[in-house]
Amino acid sequence: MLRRPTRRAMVVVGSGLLLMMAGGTAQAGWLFVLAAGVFALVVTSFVFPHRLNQVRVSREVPRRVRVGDDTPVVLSITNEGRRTIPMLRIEDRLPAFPPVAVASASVPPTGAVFFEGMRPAYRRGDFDAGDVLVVSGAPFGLGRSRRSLRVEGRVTVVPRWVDLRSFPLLEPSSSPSDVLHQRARTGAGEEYHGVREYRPGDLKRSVHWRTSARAGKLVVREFEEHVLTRVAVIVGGSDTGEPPDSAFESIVSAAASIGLYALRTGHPIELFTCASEVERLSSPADRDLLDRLASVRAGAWDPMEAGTQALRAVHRRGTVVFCATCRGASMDDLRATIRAVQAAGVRVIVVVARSSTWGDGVSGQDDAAIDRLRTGRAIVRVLSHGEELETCLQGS
Amino acid sequence: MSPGLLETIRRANRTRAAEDSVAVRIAVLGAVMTGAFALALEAAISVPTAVGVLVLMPVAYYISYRRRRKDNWHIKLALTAAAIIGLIRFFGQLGGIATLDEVRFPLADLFLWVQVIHGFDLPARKDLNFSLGASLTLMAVAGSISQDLRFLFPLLAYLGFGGAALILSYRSELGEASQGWARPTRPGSSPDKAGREPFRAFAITLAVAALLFMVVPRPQGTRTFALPFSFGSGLGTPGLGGITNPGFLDNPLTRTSAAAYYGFGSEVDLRVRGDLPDDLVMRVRASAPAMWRGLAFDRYDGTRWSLPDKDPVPFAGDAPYAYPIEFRSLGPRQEVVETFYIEREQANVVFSGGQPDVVWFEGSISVDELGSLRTDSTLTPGTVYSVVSTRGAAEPDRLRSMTGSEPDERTRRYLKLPPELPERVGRLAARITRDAPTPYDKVKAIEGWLADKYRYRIDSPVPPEGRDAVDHFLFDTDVGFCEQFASATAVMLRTLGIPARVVVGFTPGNRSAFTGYYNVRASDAHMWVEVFFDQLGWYEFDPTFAIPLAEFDLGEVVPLVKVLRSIIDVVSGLVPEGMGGAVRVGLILLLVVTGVVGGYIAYRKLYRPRVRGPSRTGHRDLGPVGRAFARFENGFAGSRRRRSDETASEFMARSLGSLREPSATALRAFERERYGDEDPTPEEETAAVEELRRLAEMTRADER
Amino acid sequence: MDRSAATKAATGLIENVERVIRGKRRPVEAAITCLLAGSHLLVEDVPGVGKTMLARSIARSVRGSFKRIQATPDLLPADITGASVYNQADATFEFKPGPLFADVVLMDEINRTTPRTQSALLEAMDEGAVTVEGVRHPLPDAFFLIATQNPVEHHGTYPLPEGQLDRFAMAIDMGYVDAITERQIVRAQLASHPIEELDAVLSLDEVVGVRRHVRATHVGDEVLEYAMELTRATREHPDVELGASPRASITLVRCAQSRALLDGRDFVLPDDVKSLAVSALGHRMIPAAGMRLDQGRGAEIVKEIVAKTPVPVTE
Repeated sequence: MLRRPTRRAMVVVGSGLLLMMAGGTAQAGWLFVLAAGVFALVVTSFVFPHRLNQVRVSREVPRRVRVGDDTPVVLSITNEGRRTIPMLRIEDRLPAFPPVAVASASVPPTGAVFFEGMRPAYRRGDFDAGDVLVVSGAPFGLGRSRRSLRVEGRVTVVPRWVDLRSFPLLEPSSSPSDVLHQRARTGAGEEYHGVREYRPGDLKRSVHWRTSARAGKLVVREFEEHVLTRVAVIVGGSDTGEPPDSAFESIVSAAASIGLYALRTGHPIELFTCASEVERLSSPADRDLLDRLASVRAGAWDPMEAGTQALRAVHRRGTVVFCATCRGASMDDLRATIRAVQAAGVRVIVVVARSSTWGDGVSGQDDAAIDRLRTGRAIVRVLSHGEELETCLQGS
Repeated sequence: MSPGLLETIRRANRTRAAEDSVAVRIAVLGAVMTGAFALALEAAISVPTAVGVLVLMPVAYYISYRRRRKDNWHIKLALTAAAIIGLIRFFGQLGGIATLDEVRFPLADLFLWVQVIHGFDLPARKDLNFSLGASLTLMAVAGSISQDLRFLFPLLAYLGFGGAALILSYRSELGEASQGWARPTRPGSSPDKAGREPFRAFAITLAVAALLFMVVPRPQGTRTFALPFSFGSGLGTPGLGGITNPGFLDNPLTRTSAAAYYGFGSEVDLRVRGDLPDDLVMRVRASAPAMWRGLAFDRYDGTRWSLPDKDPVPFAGDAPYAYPIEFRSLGPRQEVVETFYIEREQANVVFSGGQPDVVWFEGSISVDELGSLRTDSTLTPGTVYSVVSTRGAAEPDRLRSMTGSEPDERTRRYLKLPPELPERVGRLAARITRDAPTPYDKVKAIEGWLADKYRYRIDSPVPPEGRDAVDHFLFDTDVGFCEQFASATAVMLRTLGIPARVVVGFTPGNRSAFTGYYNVRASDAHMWVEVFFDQLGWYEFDPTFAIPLAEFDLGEVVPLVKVLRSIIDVVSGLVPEGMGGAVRVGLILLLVVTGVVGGYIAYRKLYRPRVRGPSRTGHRDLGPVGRAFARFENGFAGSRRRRSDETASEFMARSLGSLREPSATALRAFERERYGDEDPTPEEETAAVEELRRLAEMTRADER
Repeated sequence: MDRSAATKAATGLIENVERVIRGKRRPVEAAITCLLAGSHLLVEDVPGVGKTMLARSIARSVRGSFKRIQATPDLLPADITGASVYNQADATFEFKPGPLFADVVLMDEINRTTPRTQSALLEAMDEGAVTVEGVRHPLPDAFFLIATQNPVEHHGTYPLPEGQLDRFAMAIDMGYVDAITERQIVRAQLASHPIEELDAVLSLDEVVGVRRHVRATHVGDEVLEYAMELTRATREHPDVELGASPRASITLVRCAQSRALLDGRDFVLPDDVKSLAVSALGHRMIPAAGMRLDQGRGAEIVKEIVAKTPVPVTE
């Protein structure tokens, strides 16, 4: 393994040469000895064994972490050989975290050292390994050798989300006291829920004549249909700003929040992520949803294609939620898609991030496009930089 | 001062990142103090200065350590003022020096002054590194003055401190560049932070230094800008025109007296006997080894050689003195530059390596009829003088081509022989040189014949009254020493019509591998022969040891060659005689290779790496839960530590009391991972690691 | 049967036996551990503490045949192994199996019989079969022997030499119970002996099945090393002339596997080995010259060794 001399090494070599010249001029033997000693320091730096090939580095990270969370990461250095490894430095370059360097004193044979530090997970994504750079300059720091290792350590950095108390996924229910919209109640169905007073519009065959006779007024049977509204969540758009605080990140967080809310309230969801093509994730559990959202990437997308697939997924009844930034697709295309989906009888909610607030300053164009989205029956929520996600989504 | 200026000054002197490690400072302080100590040892600075420096330095370092985070602009101002004072003093001292070479001493003073000043302001590692580099100059100055092996001790100490400073500085750098230091996974399993690294590094450095030292070439013959010379200690005994040998103020009874060779006198009596002691007489710093020539004798009267009667002619003016043209030899010459450091009082003879060219001498010198230089009074210890001299550099072939010529007035005196000289001496000379065509060959023939027929012995028989010394030596004895050999050669050459004379002086002496000085002892006093060659001048021959003409010896320049030569000599000695040349070489190579390989095998056998404890290489490594458990375990100390015979569950029960749910599951997960066939599921693993971490935190908090 | 069923069966067996043998969890567990490890048990204790009851309960619980042999000084080897008897009707020699041919055998006061008989028994234990007149007769598959020794009575006894004790996987004592439990036992037995109502909970085949699971329990390298280290240390102890043999390590590990199965694990922990060390190794040592190693001293030595041997945890 080749070693590189450091700047200090050059200085040392230079002073050695000077000593030799002085020695020759003054005919003083001791100066040559001194020069030999000085050169020896440099030579030793290149000969002293660094034993970097005995180094094994392992990393322990929690399996799943939220963006921005401080994560305990443990780096362990093990000496797999039979000689002591002199002091060295390792740089961990797992992309999920900012790179960090750790110093280690000499490690005895079959010994191990570890370093536990808190690191902020600043990049969302699914990472399974990272490079670790091992550098040693022992003993004098005049000659440096390095070795790059690939260290496994799977970590999925999931987006942040908020726990929504409410979100208008459904039409308001017949009993307004049911805040959580737990179930979609219709007149038809299988499970007998109970009776209630006749309301105009109820089907005649749902009238319970016996009870009506006893009560003296018209009473209808109410059934529950265990048809839970399917929710399709579409995520797409290109990014503005510097992650983790960027437009795309905000809509991913929004999608995560909405998706988790839907799952919590019992709705099966279909997730559509759009980058180069539309990818569908059916009926994920919480963890799968977050994992998938962890790896979604910003980019140009086609709202029409996504909308069509989403429509099919919700079987023409249910709700489609678009989470998008203003960039990456024409807002007019999006508007047209929304119109088409609504025409099929499906409820549409749009969560749009005002990209300009993350980047180039206020853009009249973005605002105008968003305003145009508001016309129509779709529910629109707008996210801006600096505003709380929860407030934006629960909205007015 | 206006506030604006103050602010500017303050800002300019803002302290950067401070170096916290005390160890680095101590190492650098050690290096600097070693440098100061070395200067004191070589008497480059006065004792009060040395003591002052050695006391002030630690104080300075302590202050700069304590104030490392503060701005210190006022200290910096004070130090600048002190530096200016130092400079002024330096220039003042410059006025008082005699030779340019002596600039070294006030320079050393200045360097030291600057080091001390700088020592008060060393907040950052950068400054400490600078101090370390500056201390190298102190050592260099001390090294250039040193003449003996004393310097080895400060040198080794300096290498030690310097190496330590570099290591510690590097360690500090590592710590600064990283988020923190890793901890050992097992308590007490890792030795202290530095470990055995520094010692190993030091050992390797010493070995490499020794190797490099043997291989690094010493450039020679570089003419110095100003050669040192100075007056010795006190006045000597005046020469009064003649040669005053402090050992022999009267006639000699023995060859030596108080380390003085009697040969440095007005005459050399060939009947005197005696051994010469080993006392150190002088040190010579020379660009090449040479015979240090003192006096030439031309008149032989059968028992003694003597100097011409005419008074020597003093040189005009001051040093440096140029050698008179009439004595200079022509033809190819090789320049040698030498400086003589007199250790014991010597006769008032100026030595030189060959024929002098320019002489730097404090005092007046004069030259005699034969071209030898002498001084006013004897040379007292501490006298230093320098000579640039030349030696004949003609190749033997060139010399051989000189066929001899008619004697002229210059050379006639070197052909005179005493009338009583027996004829058989001349006949012998003719016989010996029968087959030698040219004068050079004749000289070599005589040399060879003498070496063949005679042996060296100090107490050779004394010629009786009335006998010619040379005749007696040649025909009645078979032993002799330098005076006999030289005299016989010179006389025989004269009988053949070749101008020859004897010269007394010293052999080059022993060169110290470290200091580079030639240490000349009294026993190195010697007499040899000079022969005159047409157009080329005087060339020296040493019939005693058959030393050839001055040659370039690689062994003097690269000591490794000398070492290799001696190794080969030793090995050759092992090989039996009488073998053919190629076979010899092959056998020598074989022995050397065997030695090297054997040495390597022995090294490998002896230096087995030490494996700690019983080998546990058959065991599986700890998994993540295991590591988390190890870290948890690690947090206990003293009696709360897990005893070696406690199992994991016993240990946890003892430390935590009854195990509640998450801890119990964590323990089970650990057990499964450690002893079981399958690993726990990722969920179990994560939960266990988390729980163990929590427990570790708890214990850490408790322990505190 | 799968592993969890095996565990359940084994623990069920213990519980069943405990219906008769109350307040003696440790010896019962030890006996079942031994049974499931496929080896034999030595009980050293005074009379009347329930040794016979233990053996009988075990036999009943596995629906196995039970034979009790009371050792007397005049007991001959043929008395226990069986012999060839001349059948006059067929005019042939017929092998009549001795009391050894049962599923659970209790050999009471084995130290009262002659060394010759002792060795016949021990040989049978070793081989798992009896050779009479050149013909080999195998013992039952689930053969389990409990031998007893009375440590107090020395008069007229031939205590089993320590070298022979090697055949027994474990050596335990029954111990007395506390007063309350004793009262319960007496009262219960005054009515009717609970053993009469004891049902079988396992069949012999199932026992064999459980044994198979025991053997399949995973033993990690370090745990094995630990067991071997303990055994090795008995050999190197200064008070011991001859310590436990390498076979003892095997038995120790086997018993540890049994213990692991009882605990519901599919791997052995060092804890298992550690807890069984005294019972499994304490009786296997021959004292150094001039020292009499009774069982107590042997156990003490093993305890010392256990305290000094490092357990593989996080190295």
